[in-house]
Amino acid sequence: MKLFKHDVKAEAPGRTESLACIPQHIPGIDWICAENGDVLIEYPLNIKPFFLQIAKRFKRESQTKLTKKLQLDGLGSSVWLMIDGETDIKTIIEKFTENSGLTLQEAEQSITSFLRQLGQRGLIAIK
Amino acid sequence: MLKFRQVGWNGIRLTVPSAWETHIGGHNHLIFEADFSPLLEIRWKKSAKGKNPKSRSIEKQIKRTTTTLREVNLPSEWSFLEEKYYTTCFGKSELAFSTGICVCRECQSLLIFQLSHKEKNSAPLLRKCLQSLSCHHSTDEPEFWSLQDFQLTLPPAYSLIDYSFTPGLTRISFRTRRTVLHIGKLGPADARLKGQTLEEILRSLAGTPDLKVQFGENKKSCAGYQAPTIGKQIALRFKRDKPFVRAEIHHDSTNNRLLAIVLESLRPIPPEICQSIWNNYEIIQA
Repeated sequence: MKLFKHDVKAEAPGRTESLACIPQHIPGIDWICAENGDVLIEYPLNIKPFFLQIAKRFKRESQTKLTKKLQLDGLGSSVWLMIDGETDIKTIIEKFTENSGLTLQEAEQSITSFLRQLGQRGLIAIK
Repeated sequence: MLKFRQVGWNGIRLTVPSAWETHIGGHNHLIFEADFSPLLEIRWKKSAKGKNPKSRSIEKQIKRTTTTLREVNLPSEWSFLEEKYYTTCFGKSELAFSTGICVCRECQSLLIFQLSHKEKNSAPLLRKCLQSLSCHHSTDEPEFWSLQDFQLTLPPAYSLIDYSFTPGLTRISFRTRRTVLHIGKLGPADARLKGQTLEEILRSLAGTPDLKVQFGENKKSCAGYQAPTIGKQIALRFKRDKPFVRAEIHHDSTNNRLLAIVLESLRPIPPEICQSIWNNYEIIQA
């Protein structure tokens, strides 16, 4: 009775494995570093085809590329700049602790939630 | 030379290496970590007066643990535990002792600890930490609280009700019969003070706009007090708010931290209470 079988969910990685992961920027995402050091990211919006059709009808340009902009604050920008595809999350946390004046525990909490948000927006991938 | 520091949380005190990170798992749960992996975990339960939790509590814990662990003999290096506690040890094999269930011989508190022997070097350190573990103190002795980079001593009448360790804001709340005390630590102070003044931070921590605020002499501290009229007191009591509030915030520029305390009460709060708490609340120098 295959129909009634539940899908076996993949086991979520533990904390140690998660901290050893390496985040990297998704190619094709434009970002610039402003003069004050803040990072401005422009990323394409993932819109369902139905809503895209509606948007196209209201816009006259044949090729509409809908994007969204995200401005990071000082701390967020420093983390974004540390993401280079080689540094693991653990190292990012340690470096962030040195620069921010937060404790290791606080830094871990804030960075993991920040990376989760970036991942949900499709701005980074974790390898 | 390895540095050590004393950690105190909800009745438990022990000395651990300064490099270890202390995580709070709950009101009666501490986790010590080094290099992002847990080394020692302690849970405890204070016994109710006149009740001996030994047999029933241990039985319960054994039932929970025996599915993966089995009882092993206490290794000779760990025999110091027997001096203070009735101890039962568990492990996956006879050689690997990883979990201990202890009942204090004096105060009957139940303690469960779990060890991680990933690094061979950590075993002597773990023994040293558990040797320093204490679960009971004299009733007159103030309660010692020390975590992260701060320490505080409070009269034993204050009991823990809530805590939160969000990035940049640590808050621990205590209660006595009529008073609620909130201890706060904000950091980094320079970043906080860029967007807000000390007074604004104090008002938002106290959660009341009617606070009469006074600055300290060096402008690095400010204190506020709320003593409403009888009409307002009744209105606040209807809303289940405590009418009398006394709050104080200090800027510790050396450690780049803001330290705050907020007292809420049904009765007027004498300034001496606030002062006595301040005298025992500080940032530990690294």
